[in-house]
Amino acid sequence: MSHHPRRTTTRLAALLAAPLLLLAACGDDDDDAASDTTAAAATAAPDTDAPATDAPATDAPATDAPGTSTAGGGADLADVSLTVGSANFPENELLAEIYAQALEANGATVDRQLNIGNRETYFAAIEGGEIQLLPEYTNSLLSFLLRQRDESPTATNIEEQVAALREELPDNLTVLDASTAEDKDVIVCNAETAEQYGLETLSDLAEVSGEITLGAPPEFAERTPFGIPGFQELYGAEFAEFVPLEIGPPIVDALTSNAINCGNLFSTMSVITTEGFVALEDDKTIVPNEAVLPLIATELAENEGVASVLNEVSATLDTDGLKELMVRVEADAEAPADVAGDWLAENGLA
Amino acid sequence: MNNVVDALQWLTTEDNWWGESGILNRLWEHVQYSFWATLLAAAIALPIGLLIGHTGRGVFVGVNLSGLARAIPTLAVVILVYKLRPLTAWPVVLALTLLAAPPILANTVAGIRGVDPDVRDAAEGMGMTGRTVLWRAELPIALPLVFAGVRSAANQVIATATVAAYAGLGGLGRFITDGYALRRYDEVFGGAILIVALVFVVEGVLALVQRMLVSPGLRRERQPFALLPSRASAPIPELEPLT
Repeated sequence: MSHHPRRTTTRLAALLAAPLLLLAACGDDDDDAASDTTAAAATAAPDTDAPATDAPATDAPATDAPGTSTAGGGADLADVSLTVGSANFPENELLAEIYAQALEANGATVDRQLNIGNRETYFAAIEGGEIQLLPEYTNSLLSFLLRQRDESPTATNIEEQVAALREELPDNLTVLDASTAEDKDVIVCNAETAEQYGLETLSDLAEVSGEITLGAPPEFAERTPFGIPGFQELYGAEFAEFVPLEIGPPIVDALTSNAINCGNLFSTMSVITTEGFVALEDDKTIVPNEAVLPLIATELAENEGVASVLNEVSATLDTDGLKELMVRVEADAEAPADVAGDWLAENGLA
Repeated sequence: MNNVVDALQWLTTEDNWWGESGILNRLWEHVQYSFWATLLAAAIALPIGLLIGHTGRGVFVGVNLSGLARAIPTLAVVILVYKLRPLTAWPVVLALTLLAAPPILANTVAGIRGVDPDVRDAAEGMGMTGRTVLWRAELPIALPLVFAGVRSAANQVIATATVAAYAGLGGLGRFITDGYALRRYDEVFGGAILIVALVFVVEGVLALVQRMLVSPGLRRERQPFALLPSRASAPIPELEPLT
């Protein structure tokens, strides 16, 4: 009996299987992430249900008070069912939960598809109709849409941005009212670097940029205005080194160990406070307004009940409120679903 | 199919090959991570495997431990080490070392244990002592199987070294991660093609090295009447080595 051919075949199979296994492993990760969030949402559900069932009793006067408003309990969305998605960072997941639970409180059936990925990824999902609602940010979304034509936004305030978004979005998508809550990209430096160079603004940073190692997501390398080309154009900054890292632990860990001097985080991240990073002031406005608003399937937005529930949420949401909620999610490690439920209950929206 | 065409176009664009983020540099980084991880794994797993195989002690523990080690998720190791040493090669090299060590260990043990006891007896009869038996008789005969372990480890390491991109490092994984972030799928597919190609090239090189190192007497296909190799290259049943 010859062993050699068997060995060769097995080895060949192993060789061919290696890339496939890698792909399968990646797939598993995604599935895990998805099922984790579903599991988290599922386990969180009883918790949120509990205060929610309590809430109507205590909130009864509250819902009476704004009786003229149809949102916050008035709309009957029993025949509405939709899938809410989110980008792959906690705040977006929290906002998605807020939208989802506000709609659920009015009778809608909501599936969740949270933590999908970056804008490039989830936009394809909402454009393709796999999800119908997702929390977005005015300028980021507008830049994304215009970049496909090699243009950049000219809108300078939230109102103009919303109008431009409605213009630029494909017909099957639209945006509802914007909130005053803003989560902007921000460049932070670790305390060591900020102290050494006396950094307070991005202009300060530009002056010493030749000695600065900067961490930001891979797309930062080619993005305008908030990216390497934009920084060069507006601030005249040429960074010594650019390290592609995801926003979140990879950038935070690299900052705390001083492996990078500065990095790209979001302005509402609690870690900026807890790790003592210095958020640099954007003195030449490289980062425009980033108001939170719902990106929604046009068909769903045409349902007046859905629109009024979400507009009511946006009217209530502001930056300070969002920051507070984010400390609970990030620093206190509370489930986004619980935090969202509490906020809705406190504001009489669920 | 369009993706493949785009990927080939990306691969054949000269500008994509040069510079710090060019294919050549990324390839070199990828080879370096893979080389050090495989070397480190061999440096750990080979001596232990030889010892276990030669003495016959700890076979059960060694083989089962190496089986268990295969269950360690590489990305988790990368993340844990990254927390301690961000932006160094350590997260990647250590994670890949853990990936590469088990197949080398299992195959080395299987190779040595699989040597015909008669050969060992004969070696001792010729006056060889323990260590000499290992070096002059057992290891040369086990070499094909030991090599199979190293090759298998190297393949896995090269395919998995893409995790370096997560840790902010280079390597061919950058094309997959960056291409995905920027929706440049030609780059994603091109990077994947490069990784598969690298696996094939390294497999070929290692096969050549094996051919030079393994005694011609052990090449069964050329020596149909040789008595030793049938045992030498055959795994002993209960160990089920990865080949």
